[in-house]
Amino acid sequence: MKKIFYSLFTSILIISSCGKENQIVNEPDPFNQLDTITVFKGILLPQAGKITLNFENYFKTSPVVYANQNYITNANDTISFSDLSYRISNVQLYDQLKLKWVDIGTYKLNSGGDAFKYSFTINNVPAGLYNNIRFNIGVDSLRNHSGDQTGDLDPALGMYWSWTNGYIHFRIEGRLQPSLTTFSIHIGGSENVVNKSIDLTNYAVKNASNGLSIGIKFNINQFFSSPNLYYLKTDPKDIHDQFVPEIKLKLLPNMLNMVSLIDVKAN
Amino acid sequence: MKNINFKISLPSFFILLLFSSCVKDTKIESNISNNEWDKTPYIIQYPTFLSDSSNQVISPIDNPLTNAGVELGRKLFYEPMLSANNTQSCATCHIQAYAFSDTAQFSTGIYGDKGTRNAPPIYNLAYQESKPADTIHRFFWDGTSINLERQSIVPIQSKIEMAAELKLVVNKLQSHPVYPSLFKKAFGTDSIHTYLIQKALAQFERSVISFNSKFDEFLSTRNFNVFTDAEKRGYVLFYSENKPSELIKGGDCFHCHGQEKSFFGTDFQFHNNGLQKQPTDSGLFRITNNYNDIGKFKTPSLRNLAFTAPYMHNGSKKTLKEVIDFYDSGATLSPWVDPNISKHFPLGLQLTEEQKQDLISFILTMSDSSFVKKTAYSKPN
Repeated sequence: MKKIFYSLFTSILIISSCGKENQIVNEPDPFNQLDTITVFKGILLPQAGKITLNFENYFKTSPVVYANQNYITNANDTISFSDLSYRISNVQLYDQLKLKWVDIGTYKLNSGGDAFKYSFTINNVPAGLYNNIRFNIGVDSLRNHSGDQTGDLDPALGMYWSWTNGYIHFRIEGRLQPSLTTFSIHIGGSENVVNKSIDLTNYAVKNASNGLSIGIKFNINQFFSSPNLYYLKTDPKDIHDQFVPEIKLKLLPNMLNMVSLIDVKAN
Repeated sequence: MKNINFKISLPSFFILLLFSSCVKDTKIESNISNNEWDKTPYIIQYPTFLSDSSNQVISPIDNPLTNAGVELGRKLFYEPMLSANNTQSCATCHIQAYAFSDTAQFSTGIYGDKGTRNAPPIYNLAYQESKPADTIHRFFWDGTSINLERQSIVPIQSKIEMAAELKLVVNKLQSHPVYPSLFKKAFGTDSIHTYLIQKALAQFERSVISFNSKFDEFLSTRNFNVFTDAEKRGYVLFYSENKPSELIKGGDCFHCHGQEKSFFGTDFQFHNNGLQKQPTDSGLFRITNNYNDIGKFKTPSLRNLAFTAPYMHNGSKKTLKEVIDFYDSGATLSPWVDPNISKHFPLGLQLTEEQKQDLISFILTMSDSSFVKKTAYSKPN
């Protein structure tokens, strides 16, 4: 009798326990297919893990520093930098086993920090075998004009055009030699978001307990040079409007080209 | 007997315990304490003709109107700390006595700069969010903002208006003796962020409605005799097409300012009304870069015009007579002028002076004199 009561009690307990959350008991899978893979291209996460993205800003091969360091672009402009800020959002990884893009990231703002390096870590990246990463430089049109402006999207943090209610995606400011006139290029507007996709198949890195890192290079020389030479003496050197034609004609293709993979490694 | 009782009550006790813990879990939302969070809904009193829920203010799911939120928004609306030098609040240029508009053609910012557009009035703004469902262009003359949350911080940051840095505004409010507790009451947290300022200001703006005019009395009763004879003639002109070929005089006003079943005095859309042949202000085009949008501005509501002079986006018309004379003249012609205006070019509507006065008489029945004195919207003590 007592046993019947207790089994009844336990079953009621299970049924009644917080039905809302759709609790599925996660028993450890005795056979993890991902663990058995030994030959692969890209990055392998047998279990959910964390990935750190390290963005490093170079001018050709030199790390970017602010103020007095001069750089010469392929368009033969001698320039120095005082600000390099950008937004990274919508980070996605391509799972080659499931043949789908997995959303792993959110909206990040690099502003007012180190001229050379900007990092953030994404925790709880789902298990998978990934061979491609992509992200936006900027804020997609949906979040650009609607949704809560919280976290790194707080307009109080700057990189925001109040007059269009939209975010600045990429901002570069500095001085142009020899006259030391300033230049300031602000790229914003829903149609000017750069979506960059990077192939990871030259690497084969399995997630370690400390996660893994993907190093991404921004080569600022390319921003002014490749494929379109951008002459700060004749092209607009002050851009504060998303409809300036040179953005689409020259700078967006250059921005795609300025991004490249440095390396992938286990931490 | 006693034994059985015990056996039944023990499991029931556990189940109860479990159940109550589940309920408690769902009520705790992140780190926000419920202690002083007052979620009492703010109730808007609608006239009978707006009793249908489709004609009532719709708030975003994540920013419902609450008494505490509206009250905080109202206090912020009248708060000079929202400007860089603490000299101007929203209410400096949006003055209740003028239906929250400004009598100046262009308002003056904290450093003496003039704007380029006439400060629009504030009432029934929530309908601009719900009536045109599929647009991102709703607020400001040129449709800069999709909603009132986004709208609310633009004048605060504008260099020629309140010229403030948001982070400094946040700091000022955070170190104020009263504001943190008001945010706690409204949003459950005394940690002030831009988005909470946006939410509070938007709540207050959504709460501001005006439906207590003679025109509203007519809409409620459908008794045409609430109008004087001149107003009745004006009503007919307002809702009539001008058909010169059939010798029918009409104002053609209703195309943009509300069909007969519309209560808002606007179609919530953007039009080029032919005010300038070559627009000096590109209007919606500035936001969309679409050639067809050159010189388009949001249709203003015709409610409360008794209080909102001067008129037009650039405040170029001092009186309603000047406005009617302008439309009567046939306006100007350019590729962008709305067809309902350009079809009258160059002959114009050819209304008589009496007809123009009749139109003005009717339009003024849409003015709500109780609104401009309503204490719920006035500066809090």
